[in-house]
Amino acid sequence: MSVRNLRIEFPTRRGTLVAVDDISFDISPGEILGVVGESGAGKSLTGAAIIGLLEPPGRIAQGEILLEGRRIDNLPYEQLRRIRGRQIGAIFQDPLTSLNPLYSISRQLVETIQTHLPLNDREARTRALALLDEVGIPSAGERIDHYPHQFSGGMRQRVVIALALCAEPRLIIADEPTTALDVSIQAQIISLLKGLCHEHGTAVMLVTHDMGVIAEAADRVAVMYSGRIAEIGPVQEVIRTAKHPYTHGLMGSIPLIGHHVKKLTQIDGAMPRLQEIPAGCPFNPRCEKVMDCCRVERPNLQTVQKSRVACHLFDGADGEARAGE
Amino acid sequence: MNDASKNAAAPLLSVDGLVRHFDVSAPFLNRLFERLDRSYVKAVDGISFDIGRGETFSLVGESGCGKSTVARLIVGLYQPTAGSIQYEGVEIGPREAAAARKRMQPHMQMIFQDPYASLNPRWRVAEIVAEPIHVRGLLQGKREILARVGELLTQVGLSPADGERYPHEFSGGQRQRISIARALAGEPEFLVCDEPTSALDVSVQAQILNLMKDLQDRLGLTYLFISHDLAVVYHVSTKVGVMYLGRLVEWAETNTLFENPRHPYTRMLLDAIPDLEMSGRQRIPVAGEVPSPINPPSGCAFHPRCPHVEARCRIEAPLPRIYDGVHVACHAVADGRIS
Amino acid sequence: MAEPRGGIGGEVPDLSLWDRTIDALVRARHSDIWYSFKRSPVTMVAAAVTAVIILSAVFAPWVAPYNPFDLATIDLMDASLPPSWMADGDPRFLLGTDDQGRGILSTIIFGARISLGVGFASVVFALIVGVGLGLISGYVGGTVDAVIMRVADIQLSFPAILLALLVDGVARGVLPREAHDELAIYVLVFSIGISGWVQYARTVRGSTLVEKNKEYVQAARVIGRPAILIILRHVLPNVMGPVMVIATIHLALAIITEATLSFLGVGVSPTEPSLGTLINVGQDYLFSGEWWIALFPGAVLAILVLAVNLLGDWLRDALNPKLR
Repeated sequence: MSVRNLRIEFPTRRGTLVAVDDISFDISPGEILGVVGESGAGKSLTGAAIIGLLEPPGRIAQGEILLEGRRIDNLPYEQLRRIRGRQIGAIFQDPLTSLNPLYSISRQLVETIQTHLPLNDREARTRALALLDEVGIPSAGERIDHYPHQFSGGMRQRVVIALALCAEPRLIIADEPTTALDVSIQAQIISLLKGLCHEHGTAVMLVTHDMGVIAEAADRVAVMYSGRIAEIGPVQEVIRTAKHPYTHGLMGSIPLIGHHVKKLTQIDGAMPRLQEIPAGCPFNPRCEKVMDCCRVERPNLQTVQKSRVACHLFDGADGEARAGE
Repeated sequence: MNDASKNAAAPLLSVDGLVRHFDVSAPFLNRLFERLDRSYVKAVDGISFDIGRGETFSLVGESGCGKSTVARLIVGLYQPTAGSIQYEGVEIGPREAAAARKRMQPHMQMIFQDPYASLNPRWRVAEIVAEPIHVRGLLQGKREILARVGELLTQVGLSPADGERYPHEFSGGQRQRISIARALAGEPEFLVCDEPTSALDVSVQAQILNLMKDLQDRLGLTYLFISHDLAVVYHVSTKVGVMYLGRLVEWAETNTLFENPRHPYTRMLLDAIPDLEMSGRQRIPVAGEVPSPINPPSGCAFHPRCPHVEARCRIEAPLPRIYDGVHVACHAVADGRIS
Repeated sequence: MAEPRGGIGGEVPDLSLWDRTIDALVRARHSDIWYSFKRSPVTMVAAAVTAVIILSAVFAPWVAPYNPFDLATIDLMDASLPPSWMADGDPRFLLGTDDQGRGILSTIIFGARISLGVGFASVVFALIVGVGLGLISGYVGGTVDAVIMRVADIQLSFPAILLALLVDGVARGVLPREAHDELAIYVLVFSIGISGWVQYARTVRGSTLVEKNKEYVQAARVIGRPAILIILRHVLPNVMGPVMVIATIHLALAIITEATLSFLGVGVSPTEPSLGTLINVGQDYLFSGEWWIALFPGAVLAILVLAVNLLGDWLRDALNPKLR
């Protein structure tokens, strides 16, 4: 799955807001790409755009989305809908709203399976049972006929994962799948998701604001800021040796157990609103290492070690030396 | 450690056997016809702890463990079903102690979780911050009050000119600053903070946590800090209490608790924290989920998820005991089965 | 550590009433409500019609060609003239005259004054009672809530007209005849108002339950505000949105109810007729060919109610983001 130069705009009566501005990334089969950023960074919109669930008036203004080499962002609605269920699965933050409260779990699963796979009722039910088993629902045979409200939050999220896996999709978009859950349940869901994807070779785009979840689950991570990718690279590298000053500040602002600090590193200010994104690098008003060119020229992603970073600090050959400080 | 022993002798706030049950029964007619009993949620079920002056005491636990209820009981938003709350040695818990509560109430203020719901959308920031000053009659005269409001806004990192704006013009972090300014306006010595940073992004969370620490140092505040985030709790608190289903299972000095957790639940929580340092530590995902507080398990409420469970845990609820200054309520710890 | 803000100077300006008014106007000018108003031609026409009717009713003595209640200007010779564009019409009376020589246009303008007056007064009455009880019910809860809501349920099982008839009947029985004629308008306002409070109370109670549990109300409690002040200063301003919608739609309903009661002869006296009374009087002449006496007041009533209803519908949609 690849995203090329994606740009999402919101036309409003006070002018057009650019929520996502020229981002590109790939996810290979079996890989989990974490997309992390603060609220309003455009990470959920990117996910929604890929599934084709962008809410109007939001629209893709530019760029393309390719799934296994085939362009899907310009498909007519009907075709897109088929692909959405068959090849792209979705997991959202609130499991309660993704399940229909009026139907039993079995009915929802069987229906979804039969929409995408040519199975009869019995076969579909068998498959549903196997799926529930796979996502770790205890005594699935008994619980399959229960209704969503009879499940706890963690179990519901497991059911949603089972639903997303129904048609053996090539790609799963998971938007804050653990945010509504307690820490102990979070850990369960993450390891489940991770295991399943590696097993089935499914590509996953994991959208979250929680660095902990990323560290735990993702293979690579893209850090978004003001609708742009600030840094993208292998998760270890980004977390341990963050290159972009924003990522660096972000990592420092997370309190860690076992590290007593008097004060957390803090990035002053807040992410600019969409209508107030400054020229040049969007992070320049808050950046400690700001240079003159940052206020004028927008930095492009460039390769530094195994990562790609959008920061003028890495312009030219001595970039790494300057960032080393 | 001299200070600590003095604090222990005269805590600022001391809670003893605090209980709060919520009536969640069906309406009267339904109970009559469907032959249902009244049912209660034991949101807080016998909790005791002390907070010394200048300390930050944190309560952690998963959702539904009753930590927010404890906060609301202490500031008087709820009436306790039983138990005592003493502030500077004065009993303010029971309904009969309403007069004492009224006298002591001005010493405490609260900061809430949701920065969007905790400010009246139709008031200007200056009016919001000035509210405690008006209610307590701390200052007279428009000019004095406005000057004070400006001072408070500056103190929390906003500008006095922000006073004329409305809450919706501010970001989440800035609103939380306004909340803090409002709390400080009442000149409290004790602040109850109910998940003050849970709704914020991490970089903003760092700003708010730094601000709160800073204010504590400057104004000598005492905090009761409610959170579900162990890392945040580790960062801010001097003492930590871990709650599970309405009970305090373990409380101790922060370092002690994090370095040597005793209660199996505390250990489980610590294990579940994502490993940000990527040290490759293998995590054991914890099995099971939090049971419903309407119908909690018998005996020790944690027994269905506990790896050290014994027959006795299923019958008898463990009472807290003190081991080297650590309060733990666990049979396995008491029997020396876990160190 | 300050988040950079674009403030000017370090002084908090004085928050006077004037500032607030200007501020509210500026905000309204840029608000979504104004935007959605400008985008809806139907609403703009409805607002214009309502405004014309209300203004001419308020300024009736200056707008109306004649004062139909001033006996000196009435000439029985002018009785039962058809509208001016008809063969026997008289250019002085655009819409013709009634059996006593009063100009229909003038009686309509003065009649609308009474209709609107009664309508507004009953809405205000219902609003005060309903919002007050709703706030108490929602905020205090428990037995008080149960009692108020059961009374509301019982009240709701009587149709508004029936209730109004009942109140009027009782008033007629208790008050002496002359006193009744004098007090007729107040009885009318009371009976229409009392049948409308339930809707306000229910809505406000619901919103109050929501607002009460919001953290800003809890913050005010921790600060130590007395409950009554919390209700008035914090809760009330935040529950008024839906109330304004109900009030607008209720206004249309109140005008209709008044017209119905007056038509049935239990409303205001024919010496100072409202639109309903005019229709009632006029219907006697329908069969004798003087259709204009009943038709024009009826048309004005229908247009007024339609316009107010359209305004109410628009306001409901504009205030409800989900429908936008």
